[in-house]
Amino acid sequence: MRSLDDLTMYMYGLLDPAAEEKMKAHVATCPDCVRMGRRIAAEHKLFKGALAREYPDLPAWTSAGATRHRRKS
Amino acid sequence: MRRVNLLGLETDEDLAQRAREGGREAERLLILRLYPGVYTLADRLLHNPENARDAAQEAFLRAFSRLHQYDGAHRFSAWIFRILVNLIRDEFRRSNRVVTAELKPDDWPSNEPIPLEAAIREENYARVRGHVDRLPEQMKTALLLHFQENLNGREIAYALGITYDAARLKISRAVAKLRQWMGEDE
Repeated sequence: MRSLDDLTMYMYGLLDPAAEEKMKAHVATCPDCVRMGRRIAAEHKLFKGALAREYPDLPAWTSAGATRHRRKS
Repeated sequence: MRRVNLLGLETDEDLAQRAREGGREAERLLILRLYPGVYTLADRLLHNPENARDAAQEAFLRAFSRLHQYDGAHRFSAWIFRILVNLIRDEFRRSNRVVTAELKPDDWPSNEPIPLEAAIREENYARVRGHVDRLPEQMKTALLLHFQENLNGREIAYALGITYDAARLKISRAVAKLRQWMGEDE
């Protein structure tokens, strides 16, 4: 089984292409990594939901373009 | 040649090109697309909605006044986040325009019970956000750029002005800290 850190970086899409290919091949044959990968995916979903982008009301200047409404200092 | 994305919309990068050529409509569209993410990141780093609005506007002002410097090596959004991160680091923090975290009003209407599943989910989300606020600033920013903005490792590195390996390490350590703190909550 690969380390939690390596698996996390794999699941997060943060491995180099070569390392990603190696990991992909390993995970395909490792039930422990598959199980851990599922937990990491669930955790990723939780973090993603918690840190989702907000959609605030747009201030008036946004409809006119930034360069036409200088911010008050 | 004009490029479009999967939704048939002009890409941010093409809009940036048109804005550089003086296209006001392109500039406006870029603001409409990117403002929510820029504002959200600023608010999560500054913990002050008014300062976040100022920082977001200033980031766009700077971006559009320096469009000639955008070389297209990264997505336009990564470039504007880089501007925002530098702006917050150099100006908003230096001038002590950061206030302590403030409690935000609950979005749920007070006269209706919160569905249990949603309540548990919201509680977990709030726990995550609370722990994210405990992270060192660069770790927190890297994590937000990944989860909130879907930036890839190289884009996060570019936005933070650090190496790709350093960006990956920050995310890895940030996630490890979150796991530790979440585990301590149990």
